[in-house]
Amino acid sequence: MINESYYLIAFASTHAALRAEAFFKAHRITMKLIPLPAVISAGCGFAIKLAIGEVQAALPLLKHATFEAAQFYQIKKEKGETIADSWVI
Amino acid sequence: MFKIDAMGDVCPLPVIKARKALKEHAQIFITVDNEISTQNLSKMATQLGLPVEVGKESATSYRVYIGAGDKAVEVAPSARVATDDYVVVINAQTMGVGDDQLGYALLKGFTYSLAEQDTLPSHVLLYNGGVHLSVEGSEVLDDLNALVTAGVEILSCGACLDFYGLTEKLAVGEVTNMYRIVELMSQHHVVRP
Amino acid sequence: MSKKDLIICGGCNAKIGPGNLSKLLNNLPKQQNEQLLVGFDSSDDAAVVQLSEDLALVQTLDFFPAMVSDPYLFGKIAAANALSDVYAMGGEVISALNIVCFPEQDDLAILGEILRGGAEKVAEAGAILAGGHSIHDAQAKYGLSVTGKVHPKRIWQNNAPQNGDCLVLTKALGVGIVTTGYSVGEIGEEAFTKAVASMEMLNKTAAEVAKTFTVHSCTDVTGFGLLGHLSEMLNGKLSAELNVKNIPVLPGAYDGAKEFLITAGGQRNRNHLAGKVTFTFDDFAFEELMFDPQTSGGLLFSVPEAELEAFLADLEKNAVTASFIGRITGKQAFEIIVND
Repeated sequence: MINESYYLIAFASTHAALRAEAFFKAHRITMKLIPLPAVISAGCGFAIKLAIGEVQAALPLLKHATFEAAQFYQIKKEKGETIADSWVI
Repeated sequence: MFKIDAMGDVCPLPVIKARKALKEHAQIFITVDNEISTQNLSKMATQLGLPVEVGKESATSYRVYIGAGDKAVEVAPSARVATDDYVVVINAQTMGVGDDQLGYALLKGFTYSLAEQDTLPSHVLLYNGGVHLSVEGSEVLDDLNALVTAGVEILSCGACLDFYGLTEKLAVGEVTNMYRIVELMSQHHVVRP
Repeated sequence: MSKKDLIICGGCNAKIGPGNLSKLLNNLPKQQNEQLLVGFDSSDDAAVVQLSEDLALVQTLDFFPAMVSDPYLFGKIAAANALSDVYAMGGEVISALNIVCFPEQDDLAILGEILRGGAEKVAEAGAILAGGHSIHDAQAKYGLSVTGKVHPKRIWQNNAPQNGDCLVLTKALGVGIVTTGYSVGEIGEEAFTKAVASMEMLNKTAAEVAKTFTVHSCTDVTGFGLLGHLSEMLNGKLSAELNVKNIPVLPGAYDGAKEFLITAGGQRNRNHLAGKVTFTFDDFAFEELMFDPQTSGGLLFSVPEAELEAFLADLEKNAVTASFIGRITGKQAFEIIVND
C-alpha cells in the first residue's frame, strides 16, 4: 500500500460535517468528505480529509466557519497501518 | 491496462494467457497465486523484450505487470486487488432512503471506503441515478479511478446515460447494457450501498 | 475431457523442488549402518542394503499424479518411471507393489486401466507384480514400490564420475514441455505420441548394455531435469561441459519452449541451480529444455573415454537412442558449462 499522510477534521455531529463540506467547497478548498476512520472512532461519522498542501489555505478560514470543528488529526498510513495523531492548531 | 485472472492456474497457463493477451494489448497485468508463475511470466516478458514488474500481495497472491510505458511501474505498489468475490451495484445518487443531502454524503463515503478495501469487487455497476457518479463533475471520480487502477471494471448503463443526456460526459469506465448487468448480478454476490 | 480421462497434474513436474527437499533431508538423523550401501545421504532415490557378500537388495518407490489423460498410458509411464530407479543403480528388478491413490467418486474402470498399464510394464521388465495398497484421495496418483537386486561391488553410484569421463544420455529431452503443452492444446498429437513412447520405454535394455562396460556413475534423468541430475552427479567435486548440438530433443519440444510452454518444475529446477550453470550461447528455449522435468526420462552414464565408442555402438545395435552429450572436467568456476 502506498504510504499516505493527510489532515483530518472530525466533527461533533453529521450536520456539522455536512456544513463544513459546503463551507470548504464554497471557499474552493480541495477536500473530501469521508467516513470517520475507525482508528479515531468506532462510531459512525464523517470527517473532512485535507491534503497537507491545503492546510495553509484552510486554517485561516476556520475562524469564519459556520460549523463547530471538534478535533483535528494528522493521519499517516504506513505499511498498511493507519496511525492518527491529534493535531493542535 | 488489460487484466487477467490466473489465480488457481498452473504453469504454463498463466504464461499462455499472458502471451495471448499481449498480442492485443500493449500492457497487461495478471494475478497468479504462486511465485514460480511470476518467475515464468518474467522470463517470458524478458524474452519478448518487455518491461516487467512483480508485486507480492501475500504468499498466495501476486500481480505481474507486463508491457511498455510507465503505468506498470506507477500502479504496481498498490496492495489492493480486484477479486471475483462480489460486484457492487449503485442505482442512485444517495445511499439509503431519507434525507437526500445525507444520502449523498453517505454514498460518497461508501465509494471512498470501497476504494480503500483490501478485497475489491470485480465490477461496479452503475444504473439509473447511479450513472451520475461516473461522469464529468462527479465528486467520486477519484475513488472510481483508484478502483479502475486496481483492476475493477466500472460499468455504466448506456440507456441511463442517454436518458440523463450524459453519454458524452462519461469520465471513467465503460458503457454496458442490461444483458451484461443481469449476467454479472446473477453470477456474483451483489453488494449495494 | 470425458469422464474416463484423468486430470493432468504434471508427472515428475509435481515433485517437490530439490532445494526444499535437501534442506529437510539434511535435518533428518542419518542412519549409520554398514549394511546400508546407498541411502538418501547421497541424494539417491533408491536404497541399497547389503545382504551377503555378493548380494545387495535395491529398494525404491516412486509415484505421481497423471501427466497424460489416458489412464492406461499413465499406468505404463508411472510404472516405467518407478522401475527405472533400479536400472539406474545397475540392478535387476525382482518384484513390484502398486501404490494407488484414487478418488472415491470416480469410475473404478479408470483405475483398472491404470493398473493394466502398470502390470504390462512390470511384466515387460520381467518382475513379479505382487499386490499393493490403495487409498482414497482427491486426485489419482500411481506408482510402484520396486525391489531389485545388485552385486554390492557393481552398484552404479549416482555421484561418482571421474575427471575426463564421457557423458552418455539415453532418450531425448522435452517430455515435460510436450505433455504440458499438449494438455493445454498448444502441442499436436504427433509430438505427444513420440513423447509418450519415450516415457513408457523401459530403461532396461540401456542398463543391460551398460553392464557390459565400465560405468563410473549413472542416474536416471527425471524431475530435476538433465541439469539438476547432472549437478547431483557432479556432487560439488567436478564440473561438466556439455555440447548442446549433441543433446537429443523430442520433436515439438524446442518449438514449445520457444512459445513459452514452460513448466513450474522447470523454473524450480532453474532456481535451484542458480549460479551453478552457465550457457555460452543465447538460446532461451534450449535452456528451458535442459531444466525441463522429465517423467520417466533416460539414463545418464558417466563412462571412461576409452569405452565410449564401443558403448555407443552397442546401444545403437540394441535400438537404444543414446548420445554423447559432454565430458566431465576438473572443478571449474561453474559446475556445468553448456556450449553450442
